[in-house]
Amino acid sequence: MILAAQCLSMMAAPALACSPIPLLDPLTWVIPTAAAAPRRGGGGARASGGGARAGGTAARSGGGMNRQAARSPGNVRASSNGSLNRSANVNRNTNVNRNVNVNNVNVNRGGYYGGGGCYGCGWDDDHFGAGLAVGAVTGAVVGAAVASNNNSTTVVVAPGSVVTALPSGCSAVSANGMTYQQCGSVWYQPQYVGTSVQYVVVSQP
Amino acid sequence: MRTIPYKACLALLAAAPMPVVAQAPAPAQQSPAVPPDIRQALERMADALKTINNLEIKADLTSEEVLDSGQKLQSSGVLTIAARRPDRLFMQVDSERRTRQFIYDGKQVTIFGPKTGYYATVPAPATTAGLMDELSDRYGIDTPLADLFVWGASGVKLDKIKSAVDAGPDRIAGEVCNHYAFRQDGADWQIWIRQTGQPLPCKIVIVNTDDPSNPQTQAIFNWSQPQTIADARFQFTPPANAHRIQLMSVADTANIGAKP
Repeated sequence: MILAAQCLSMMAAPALACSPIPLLDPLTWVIPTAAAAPRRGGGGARASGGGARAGGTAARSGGGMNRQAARSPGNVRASSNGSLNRSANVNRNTNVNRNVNVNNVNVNRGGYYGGGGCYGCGWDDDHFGAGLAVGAVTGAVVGAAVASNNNSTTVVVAPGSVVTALPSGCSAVSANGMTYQQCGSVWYQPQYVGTSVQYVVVSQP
Repeated sequence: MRTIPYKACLALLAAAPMPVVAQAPAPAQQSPAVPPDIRQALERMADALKTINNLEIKADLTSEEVLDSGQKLQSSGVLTIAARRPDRLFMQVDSERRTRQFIYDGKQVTIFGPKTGYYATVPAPATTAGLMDELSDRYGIDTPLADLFVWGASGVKLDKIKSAVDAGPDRIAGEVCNHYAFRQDGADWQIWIRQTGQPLPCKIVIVNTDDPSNPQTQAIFNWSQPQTIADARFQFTPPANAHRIQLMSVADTANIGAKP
């Protein structure tokens, strides 16, 4: 798969994607997937903010990850309850945490108060240009190897990968009654997870 | 003559602790954690909510997030609610970082981000109270102050409350409100209820006690009860720049990335 230039540049630096700005989502209306869960292995999957998100089998950009780890304010492990109603039901949703391990991306954290591990990576209203974190699905690699500025970074863009923000220059395309974002040759399907928007890499619709 | 009754008295005293100890837990088990006067206050509030057909609420909302370090950060926003019993709702949380609307017409609910233009519409239960559960259970969305609708439909769930305190009157935004504090699994919560007029909530605080840093949500209410609210308020018409997307369920989300 050949990636358009803007996507390449954007994806080549996934570790940079996570802004160190502590862009906390305030009032997310999303059920924290059990207060106990975030401390679990989840920490491993997203321990160092953008670096971890970009990681998995995809980007192994050690320097970038370390840099992010040093600058990230930290991950959100818990949030306040918007209602007692939530409190009563929260335990039913703990299984969502499996996503952390499936994707090496904070999919569920996207539903978890504004994106948890990667502040400033998106999830909020600034969906363009806020940066990008790529998480790759293990297996079925349909990716491209690219070089970033200082690090040799292999980025895999596989269908099913999830990002939290798009680069600039994508265009919205409607297909099958739904909206897709085309960024060069890479297609993303935006979707709400909780009240957060995430973008899943899909085949051309 | 005196010593005999005195000894008898001593004997009684000596014997007394046994039955007292044995009996003490019995009344505690029989009486609920919520004393009658507090229970009545909650019931009056729920009854008041049930009588309101059209309501509008503006609430200053703060919530907190806990970093892995345990540090808490607080965020602020404004919650706007317009609702018509039993099956119409417009709700918006507006903050500098994110704005989301929920529009519910009794048949379907739309979540809309005005700034990004993304919206998703899904079928919805027949009542607003049912919608709160659906959003919570199916979509993992923690609707702020969903309790107002649940209480307005089925009252306060007293059986979950493990302790209740009447903290007396307090003044919220110039209004005197009766302050009550409760503890239940996963949450300590407080409610301030108007002392005069309709016993509506003035303020609510919910502390998440599952996390050691105890992040809390706070809402201070401003109520109004219009005669009518136009149907259009509860219907979503996509603006020109709107883009329809999917709302993933909790189950969907668990499968993302599972496909090769």
